[in-house]
Amino acid sequence: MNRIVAVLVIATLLIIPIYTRISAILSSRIIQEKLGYLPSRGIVKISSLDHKSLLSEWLFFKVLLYFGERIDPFKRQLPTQVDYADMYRFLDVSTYVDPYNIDAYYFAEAAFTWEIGRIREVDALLERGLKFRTWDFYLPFFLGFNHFYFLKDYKKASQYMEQAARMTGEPLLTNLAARFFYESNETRIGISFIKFMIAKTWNEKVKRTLEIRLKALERVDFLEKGVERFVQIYHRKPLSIQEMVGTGVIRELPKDPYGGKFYLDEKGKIRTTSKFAYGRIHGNSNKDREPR
Amino acid sequence: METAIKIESLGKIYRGVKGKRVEALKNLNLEILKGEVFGFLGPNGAGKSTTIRLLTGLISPSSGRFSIGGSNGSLMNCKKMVGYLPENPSFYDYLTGEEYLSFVGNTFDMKGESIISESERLLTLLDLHGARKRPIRSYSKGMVQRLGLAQCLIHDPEILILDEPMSGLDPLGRILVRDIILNLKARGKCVFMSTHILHDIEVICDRVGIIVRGELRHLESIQDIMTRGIKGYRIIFNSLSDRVVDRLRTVGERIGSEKGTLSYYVAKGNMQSLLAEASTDKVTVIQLIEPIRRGLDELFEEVTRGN
Amino acid sequence: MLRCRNLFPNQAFGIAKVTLTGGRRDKVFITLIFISVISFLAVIPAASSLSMRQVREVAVNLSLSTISFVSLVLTVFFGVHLIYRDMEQRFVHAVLPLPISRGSYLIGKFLGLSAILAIGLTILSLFSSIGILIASATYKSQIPMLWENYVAAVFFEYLELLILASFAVFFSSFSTTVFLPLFSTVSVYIIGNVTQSVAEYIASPYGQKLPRFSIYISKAVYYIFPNLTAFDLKAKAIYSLRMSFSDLSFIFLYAVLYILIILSASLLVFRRREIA
Repeated sequence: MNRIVAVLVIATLLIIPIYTRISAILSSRIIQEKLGYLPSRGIVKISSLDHKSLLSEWLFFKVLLYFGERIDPFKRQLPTQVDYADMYRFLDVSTYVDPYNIDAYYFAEAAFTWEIGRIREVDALLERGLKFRTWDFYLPFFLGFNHFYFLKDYKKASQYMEQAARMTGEPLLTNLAARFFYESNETRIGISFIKFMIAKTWNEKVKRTLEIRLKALERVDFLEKGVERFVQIYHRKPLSIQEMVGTGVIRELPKDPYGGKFYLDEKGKIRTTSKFAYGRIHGNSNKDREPR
Repeated sequence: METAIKIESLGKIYRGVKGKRVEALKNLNLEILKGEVFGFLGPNGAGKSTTIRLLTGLISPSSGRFSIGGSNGSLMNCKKMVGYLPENPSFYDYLTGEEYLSFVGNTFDMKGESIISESERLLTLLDLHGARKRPIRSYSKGMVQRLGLAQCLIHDPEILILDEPMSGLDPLGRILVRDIILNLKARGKCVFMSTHILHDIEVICDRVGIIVRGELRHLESIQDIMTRGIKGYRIIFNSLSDRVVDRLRTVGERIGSEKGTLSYYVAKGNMQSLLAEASTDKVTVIQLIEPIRRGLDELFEEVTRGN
Repeated sequence: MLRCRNLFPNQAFGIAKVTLTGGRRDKVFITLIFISVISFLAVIPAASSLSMRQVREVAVNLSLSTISFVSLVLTVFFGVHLIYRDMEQRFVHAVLPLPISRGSYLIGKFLGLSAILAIGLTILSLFSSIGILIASATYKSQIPMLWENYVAAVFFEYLELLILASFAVFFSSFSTTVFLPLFSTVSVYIIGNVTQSVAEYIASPYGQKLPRFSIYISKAVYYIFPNLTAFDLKAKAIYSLRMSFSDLSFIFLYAVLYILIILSASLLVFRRREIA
């Protein structure tokens, strides 16, 4: 009897420092969040029984962890690429299992529009969600923005925005919605939209991505304002950004936070070689390269 | 003679749900000697199994103590002296009979060669040799029972605790087991057995204890029960003189007649005078005198029913 | 030598041997191992070839996942039935009256289960290696295959299973049904696998906003339940990442101590158990 108690006590005393050490090892490890295999959404929904919200949240969480780890430059040590298609599939199943899961919609809007331009898919998710979250202004608001900013379908955009504005008295939103009707400057609307998104997000990783996006858009805005001033002074569009710097319209060339270089396209629009995304500079699939 | 099992004021209280207390065994005092076959008798739920489980360490006593083979109280030492056959035994059924015996021999720290030779001997003795390489799962009830006896004999223990050793056996099996037990007795071993079959006790046991509702009610040697139990005699006459018939009318009772014989029952006290009468008579021929006993079954019934 | 005999007496090895024999002859064991071997040799090479870029990596991944799943089923199945079956079929009534202490019985049972799992894992890893070799022959990987990582991954999987097995023994030591050990062991597995993620989540800024109460609960869970994340070396095996020997030694020690703790607790309970 005493011998067993002795073993129990000694082992417990020994395990405490060892576990502390293991805890340290684990928290400094490289997280390899796998998305892995997921059956079709119908099967998932049936097998989730009455734990639909929990399962939906779990799927979303997996996507979030996966995304968070890929986006963190210090932990990018695994020889795999970000698998957006899988991420989208998980979000799709997540919102299919529980169509009320706002986190998933929010994340889809934040991560899939700017970063990879899969507007149609995101819109499909949002449209489906709108049928369930009938009270939620977020969904029409996101849809409105997508139609305005990415799809250039201004009529539909304003319809969605009206719907969103009707649902809420949110000052930031009414302000933004109003500007949808009068403002033609996409960049400034984009900035307002991102500021809105940043204010509403709690996830640090998502926030960081959005902040980088905001910085980029603010610099584009800065350059666009430069072009406007150039036109006022010289009554013509500048040929290049370097010309604006040369003539002293802008003081210096801002850096693209994504690591690319800003340039003016044939229509005088501000563009960047990074296409506002990491890791695209060296991609050979990049069709419109830097001119010259 | 030396004491083999000594039980001192042993008691067991089971605590059920809602604090319900069941006193399964009350203050049992018992001493069983070497070379003695002790029969433990009692109706179902009287405390036989509780006693045996206490002795084998499956449960622990609430009060009192016991020692086996003079060992000083350590349960492990007790277990080493004992061969135990559980009631309706069941052994690891995926093992073969041979493997199980080897496992048991090993737990008694027996040497490899003696395990092999002993299990060979016992399997043959108990008529299991042909089945020794078959899994126990495929054994019949009687075969399992016989294997149970083999596994408690393999280390040639001084003390055997057998719980219902005859159950599940066919008549031949019973005779075999009875002979084995009698042989053990002849070799000076102590056998503590519980059984429902009173006849077996009469034949095998030296002493019997009857336990009722957790209490030991009766403890007596079979010899005493047998002599004390004679109530009278059945006498079968081939022929009778009138004088003896007259006599029988007063002291006896006619219980039957067939094929020219007459049988009478005569109470124990009247036997002497009747025989004296008959011996002077030339006509009267006695074919058979048979004692009529108050058997173990009557004693059992009396002890069990009585307060 | 004397001490060693005291710790694991002959009787414990006897019980272990019997348990192992029972495991080897069990239909569930044979069937599961057979199905896994088939899947390693046929399904995994075929399935991995569907991956365009990393056939070998997918094969390793699938193999380890299969091993982990199959051996988990084996552990839970055998672990839960280990003592329950002996009680239910009244084998203990014949075994415990033999000169086998309760401790030897429990330790013997655990050793027997460990041996069953060791045999199962050995067969599984051997055949999965063949499957991986077949798969890697079809497409050359950029990363070298480190077999020592693969072996380490399987070995640490084994340690994880032994911890679970000790829990199964612990729950069986006082339970009279099969359900309590079953659900509790599965719960320990689930909790053990998420506790690290939960702890990291709690430590993150968002986690700080949770109610005090749930933070304390999660911390208690983190320190009391086994942290099974430590035993997951799949990524190291799949991508042939470097492993730190000292880290692994700590994890090994952790497993050994954890098993010791749970087994001695089981023993304290089982000694007092009345076998009716």
